[in-house]
Amino acid sequence: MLRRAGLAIFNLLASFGFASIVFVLLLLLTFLGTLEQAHTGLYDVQKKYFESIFLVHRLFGVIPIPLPGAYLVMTLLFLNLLCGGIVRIRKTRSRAGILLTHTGMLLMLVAGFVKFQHSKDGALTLYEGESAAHFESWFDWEVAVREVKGAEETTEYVIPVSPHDWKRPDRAITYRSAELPFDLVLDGFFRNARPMPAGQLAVAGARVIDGFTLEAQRPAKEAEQNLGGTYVTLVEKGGGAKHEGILWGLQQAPLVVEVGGRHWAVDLRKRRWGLPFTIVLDKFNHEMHPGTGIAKRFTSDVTKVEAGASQRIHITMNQPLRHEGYTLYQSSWGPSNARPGDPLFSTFSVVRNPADQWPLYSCLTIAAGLLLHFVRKLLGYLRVENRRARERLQVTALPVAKEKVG
Amino acid sequence: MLHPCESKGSRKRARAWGRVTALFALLVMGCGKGDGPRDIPETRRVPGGATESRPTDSAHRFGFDTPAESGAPPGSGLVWQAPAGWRELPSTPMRTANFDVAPDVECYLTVLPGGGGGLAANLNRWRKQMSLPPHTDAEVDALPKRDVLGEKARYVEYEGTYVGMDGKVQRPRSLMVGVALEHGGQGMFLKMVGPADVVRGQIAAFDALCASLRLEAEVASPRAGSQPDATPTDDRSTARAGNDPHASDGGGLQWTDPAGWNRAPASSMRLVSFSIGKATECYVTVLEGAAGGFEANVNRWRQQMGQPPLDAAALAALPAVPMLGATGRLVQIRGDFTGMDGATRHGSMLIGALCEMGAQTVFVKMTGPEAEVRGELSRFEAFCRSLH
Repeated sequence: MLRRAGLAIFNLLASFGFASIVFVLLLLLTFLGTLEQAHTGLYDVQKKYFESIFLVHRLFGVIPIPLPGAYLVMTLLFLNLLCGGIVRIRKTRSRAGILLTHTGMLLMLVAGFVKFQHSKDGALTLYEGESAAHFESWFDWEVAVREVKGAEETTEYVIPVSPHDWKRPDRAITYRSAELPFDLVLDGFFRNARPMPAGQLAVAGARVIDGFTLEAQRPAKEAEQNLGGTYVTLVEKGGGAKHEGILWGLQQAPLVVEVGGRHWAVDLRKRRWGLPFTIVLDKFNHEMHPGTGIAKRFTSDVTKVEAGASQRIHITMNQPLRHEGYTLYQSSWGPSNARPGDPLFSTFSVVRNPADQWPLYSCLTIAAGLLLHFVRKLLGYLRVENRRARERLQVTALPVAKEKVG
Repeated sequence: MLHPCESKGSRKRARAWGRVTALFALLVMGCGKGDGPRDIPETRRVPGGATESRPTDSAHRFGFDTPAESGAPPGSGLVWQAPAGWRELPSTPMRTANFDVAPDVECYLTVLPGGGGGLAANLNRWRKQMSLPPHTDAEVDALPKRDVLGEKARYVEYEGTYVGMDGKVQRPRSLMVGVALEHGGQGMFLKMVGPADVVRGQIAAFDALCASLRLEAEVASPRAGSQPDATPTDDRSTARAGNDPHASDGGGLQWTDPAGWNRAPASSMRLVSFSIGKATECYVTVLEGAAGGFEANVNRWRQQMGQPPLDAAALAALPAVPMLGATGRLVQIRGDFTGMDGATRHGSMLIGALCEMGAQTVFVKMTGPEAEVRGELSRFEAFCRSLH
């Protein structure tokens, strides 16, 4: 019975009908997501429609329609291709091209999965002469705790905060480390907020710390503009005192708290990831279209420093720096209204994607498969046409021969 | 022992399904993150020196005390000696030096780029505040002079009814003592005003203050009260919010130009003007006094957008935005915008910030198509916050 059920499931997954449903669902999700994007922005749409398992789409903003998310649909597409396009397909020479094409498509889906699960995506902004060995997320935040020791190197304790992990803004989570003399409680996380002086303008019942409260704001359509905020409490170990504070994404200085005669700085900032090398911006070059403020071309001359060795590299919009699995694209520059002689900064979009080149391999595989299939079809067609031509020749030649014989 | 209806195979299958179910349940539980205590997941070694070493209050961390913290607005490069008994107050954008002389007596120095309209115009503005008729040019030329900053400054004593800048105050028997000069392309106006009998007792101290004024460059070591030159902001905190970390200044104010905002020509009424996107503009206006009052200005904007005026409760509920060391009010109005040219633009939006600072009111106003303006809201707020 199990075998029969398994077979039925396999047949369903491998069927053309199932593939059709999956493709229609993908089409529908793309359509609805594109419409929604006009109102809620790219980041939120991507999370809701394309990185989810299930979602509820509100038709005309009112009628709830449950739908499978693109993550689930693409998983089903993968299974469909695997079962129908690889396992069940007849393994003959005539279908080698199709098999190869399906393999390329599977590789593309796997590449998407690996990127979704393991990639890091952010930005690095440098003024000329500046250097950095890290880049920052566009959207995610981190709470960083460190002891203030002047110029001395120290350990930073990092709590990653993704706004989508805090769908309940009043959620409180305690973080602890054996090396810290306190536990740290993050009491809610506002995706977009601003600190407000407590007073008649503050929302009734709002939590007030040091004369300020956090006021939730509607998330920005361009999600990278959101300014996160959270209430934080440092609870001294052993039932000691509590130190409360507010952390905000645009705060000018970290919250500094004294615990046991030592000062600790607690900061909220965009999530940081280290680079295995240091980038120094030597020179930023830009060229405008004549008579306009529109950039025609902008490039950066950088020095990559790694293990004491320096290498000068020229980065342009179509010529990124690829090294150690990281890719640095020339993304933007500024200030846009800089006057002649003003210092300029260059922004690089930094991507760490283990499957960076897999889509290329996938496309090459698909191209090879389609080429093989179509060449084979063409040759087959030519063969058939050739045979038919010969047959037609024979048919017309036969009466003539008979007439001669007669 | 087997149940009569059970076979060995069915028991095995049941066990197997049971294991699968348990495993699935474990996986589901494992995937969900409870709210119990968690270990801090990541550590890294970092160089020191980047953070402040002392606890600081929230007002400082959130930028609500910028002028008081910096001690001075951008400026004139002046230093002075505060007279004994005078209490020096924090500077404001319009008051480079600011003193509490005595009850109801204030004294402050204003530095206006470009001369601020000229000596005669400013002196007549003072006379108007004192309910006096304006000077003629000949009278201005004939005013007594004092040496200030090595130049001859006009010295005035106006006695009359002080009506203040907004015209709401009526203080008869007031005395205004002031000096005015143009120096280095700037107009400098130092005045003291209050009850006549009290002010008269402070004229010697006022003269001493005038005499103590020096250019900062002439003084070997700066001290309290000096006005450091403003330097462009290189604030990564604004950069990480998507703003260009570029400071600009004008009319005694400083700000950070948001990314994507292009400077448009300023005008006599507009301290700075920006062109944004296809059809959006934003500009800053600074007017003397309350400029008609908060309620009147908000409702004037609403009228421009074809919207009814707000009542007191709605006005009180308007959100605040920290700017210029004070709290401004933020207004968002959707509607059909009718501009100065009389043309009506449907589907528009106006975002305004209004900050009353006593001596003057600062207006920041953005208008344009709703979709475009809505997308600029966070940059607008960041711009307002950057004003100081």
